[in-house]
Amino acid sequence: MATNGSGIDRRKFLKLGAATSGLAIGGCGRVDDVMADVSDLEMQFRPLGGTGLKVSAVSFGSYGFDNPALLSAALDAGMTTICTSGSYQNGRAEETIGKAIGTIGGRRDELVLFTGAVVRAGASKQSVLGSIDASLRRLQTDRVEIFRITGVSSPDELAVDALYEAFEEAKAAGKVSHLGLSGHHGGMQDVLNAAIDDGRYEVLFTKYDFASYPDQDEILKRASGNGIGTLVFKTGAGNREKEIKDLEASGLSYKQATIKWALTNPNVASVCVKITNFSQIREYAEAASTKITEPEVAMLRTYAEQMYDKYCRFCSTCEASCPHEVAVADVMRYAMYFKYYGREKDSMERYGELPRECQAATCDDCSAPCESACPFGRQVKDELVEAHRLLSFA
Amino acid sequence: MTNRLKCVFVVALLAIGCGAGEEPSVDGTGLVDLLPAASSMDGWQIAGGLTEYDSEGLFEYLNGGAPLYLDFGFQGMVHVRYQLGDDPLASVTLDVYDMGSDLGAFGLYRSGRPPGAEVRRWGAEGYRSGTVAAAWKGSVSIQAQADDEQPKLIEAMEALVARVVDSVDGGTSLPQIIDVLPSEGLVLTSERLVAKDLMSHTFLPGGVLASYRVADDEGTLFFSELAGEPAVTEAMAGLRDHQEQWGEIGEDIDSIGDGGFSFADPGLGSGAVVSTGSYVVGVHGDLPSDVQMNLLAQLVDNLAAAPTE
Repeated sequence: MATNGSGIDRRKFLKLGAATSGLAIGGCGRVDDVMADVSDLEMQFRPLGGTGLKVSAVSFGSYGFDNPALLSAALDAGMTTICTSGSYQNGRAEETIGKAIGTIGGRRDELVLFTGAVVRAGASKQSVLGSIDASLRRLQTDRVEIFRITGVSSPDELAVDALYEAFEEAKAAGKVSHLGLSGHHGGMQDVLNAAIDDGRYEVLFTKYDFASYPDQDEILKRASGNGIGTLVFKTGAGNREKEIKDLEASGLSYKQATIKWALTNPNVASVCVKITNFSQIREYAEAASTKITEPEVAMLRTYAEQMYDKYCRFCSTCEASCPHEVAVADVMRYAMYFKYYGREKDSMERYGELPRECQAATCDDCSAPCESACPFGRQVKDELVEAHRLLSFA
Repeated sequence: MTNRLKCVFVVALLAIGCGAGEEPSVDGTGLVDLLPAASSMDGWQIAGGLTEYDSEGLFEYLNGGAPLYLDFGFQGMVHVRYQLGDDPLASVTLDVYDMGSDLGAFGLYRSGRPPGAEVRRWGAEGYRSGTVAAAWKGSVSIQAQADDEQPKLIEAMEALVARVVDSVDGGTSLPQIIDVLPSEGLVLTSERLVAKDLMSHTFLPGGVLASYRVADDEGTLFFSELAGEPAVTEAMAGLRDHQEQWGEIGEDIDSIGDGGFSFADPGLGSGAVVSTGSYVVGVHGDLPSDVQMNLLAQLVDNLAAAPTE
């Protein structure tokens, strides 16, 4: 591994930021770079399912933020809902929030704090309780409103008795109030449905955008009907920079449009956005204070059309056309687990458990009627061939 | 297989012993070369990966954490999971990042280093904290996580990190950029790089910050280099505007650098900021005013004396 100084050196590193800063100043003017007055904006607050809590329509996502004053400013803009996790920068995000909490005194009671931890199968009750206590120490508070298990990617991961035992013990001690789960993986539908059926989860925290998961609205509606509140994130549908840059040339904010779009769903309690600078507070608070416009809808529609054939929605529509009974949605999902979520062994095992005729072993020699059947016009055959190779080491 | 993410089918090769230094590099990154062979670890096997990510695919792996890595100069990474025997709950995950430069590797390492972590003599720096370990050397940053705190897993995790670090051909010196920080009162290993939006201001580019402790008081010293005088002027005006809106402006400072002002911020405590040449330099926290001014003055002097590259 070459490790000479051919990459960014000290001066290049600083100048890189300086150049970026210069562009921002030139493009928007300094006043826009300082967080503008937000007193003209009125943050929406929505009930969080049956928890009795009300959350701000935009939540403060805390990964990577460094300045406790940023959280105070967000609070002034009405963003009273704070999302973090003990795993964000190994606890540094929680510590920075803790510093802010240390300065706001009685305003702590305005906050709805989400934190969480990864809880794997085999975890002990003590380890979960230890995670909760460590978060509370870093956050400089005696309680969090919602404790969630994070990074959930399969319904199997909900079957951890130690989690529920630990949660009940922490709840009895007043350390946590409500149980939630979060995940952003494809195939989250199964997890969300399992959590709704489980009955112990009061809050879901999931990816939601205008271009994915055709059945997501139904799941959110079902959650709401069961008294479960939902926060959403990753509303940008991939946030593909090139396409967004072109679309924003008209002066619209893609990010604002995606937030507004998510909030058009009454079953979305709040949109969580990562906030790392003061400018974003005004931008996102504004999104939560105004309704989506026709030009913004048109921008999202254009983006969705550009993204149309770039990913599988696992809708299974093409399966009816398959002459070999290939379980296309399952195969695609397992390939995604393998490629993107570090679940290589698990995905290969799942693939191996599919009946032989449901695997994609025969796809290479097939005329691929699935491609004309795909409502999104995807190159299904190539992906199935690749998936089979990945999942079977063929 | 997409261009964005390359899944590398060398699991079997690693399992039979073609590990560090024996595997050909993949896509020229060479990261795979750094991974220990499973056969060299008694009872261990490769249970996940190898999976490589480039800058476009990183978002799929790290979600909202990806921009932080990209801002530090991320070039590529390889992910692998080692498992002890057949127990899926006895594994160690290893992520090896090529950050493109020593500075980027240092920046990433320090951004995730928990206070109170146990120091390890790995490469330029290393630590373990609970089930997590990390190190950096040259342009390579390594992060590892064990499933739990079983001694056998922690021991294996530490051994893996140490072996990867040993395989990296790179420097072990801390970046010179932090040499300008005053040493008196500096909290050990508190120096950090911020890749962009220092102090959460978009008008400040990347910079450096460090913690200081004097008696029971703590504070933070920071500096940022801008593109030139107009940018510095704009940034100072931006900071003044911000404090007028969110805090209180105190006295003007004309005895340090090119001058500035003191402030009281509801989130940061009391502080001061001055400019000097192309730098914006500041301090905030609970430290007494005279200590803050002394730190500012020392840093300004050190920046003036620092060799230019």
